[in-house]
Amino acid sequence: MAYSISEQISRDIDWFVLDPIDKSIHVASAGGRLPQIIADDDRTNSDILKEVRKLRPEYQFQINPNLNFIVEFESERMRELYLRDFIFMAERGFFSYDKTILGNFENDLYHLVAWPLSDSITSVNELLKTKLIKINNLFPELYAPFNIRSILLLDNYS
Amino acid sequence: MASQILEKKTWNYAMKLKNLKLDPAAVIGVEYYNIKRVDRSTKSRIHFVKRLRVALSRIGKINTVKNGNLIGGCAEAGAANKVLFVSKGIQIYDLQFSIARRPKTMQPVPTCLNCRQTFYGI
Repeated sequence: MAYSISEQISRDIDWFVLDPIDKSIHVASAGGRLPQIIADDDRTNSDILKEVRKLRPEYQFQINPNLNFIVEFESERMRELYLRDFIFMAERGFFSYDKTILGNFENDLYHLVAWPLSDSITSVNELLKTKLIKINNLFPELYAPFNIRSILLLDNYS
Repeated sequence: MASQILEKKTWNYAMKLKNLKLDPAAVIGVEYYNIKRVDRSTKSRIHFVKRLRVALSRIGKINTVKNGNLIGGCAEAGAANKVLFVSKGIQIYDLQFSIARRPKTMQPVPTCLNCRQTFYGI
């Protein structure tokens, strides 16, 4: 089964890929368009999410130092609430990204929120990694928002 | 402007969904005096009260994508429909909306163009 367009618009889907240097990537869609490779197979993505939730936190993490310039927080508590899910992913070995502009399906800007501090970037457990879809392009570790379409275009992102 | 009670109700609803690991893109509360309802974005809705169905249909066919959003799929449409369902005397422009929230992060979510046109006549 695939994620329909209406499902993509109405849901905040966590999706996962592996980049060419085996860096595990988590992205929160926030009602944005999914890459076709993810949209085509909702079951695999859901299964991966279930497995990720079972992982134990194993890594220290780093927060994007520019986050406060990218996301407007009403208070420190709101910042903590915002970060909770992304820290969860970083503690489990994922570079965790979020959609920058909310309420706009077409907008493809994303930003890095949190990532694991580890000598090895190949940190997610090996069994789970075999299930992640491998993409051809590197995910940027920029502190500024970037257009995700430019990364996934070669991977049939439509 | 929505009441503090409605904002709190919307907040609690978003937190509940967040804790349940449910993933709607947005939730919102709508009120008309003491009538307060919350709802979430969803991939399709079938039953709308007539005056809301008419208003949504002015944008395009319900459950199709227009202006980058799903007509009738927004949390606003769901919550408004619940309030309008209570009484035929309630008009669409009488409704008050809370801040829409994204449960995953609790961030405010901007109102989409379809909802601005439907509920604010903009």
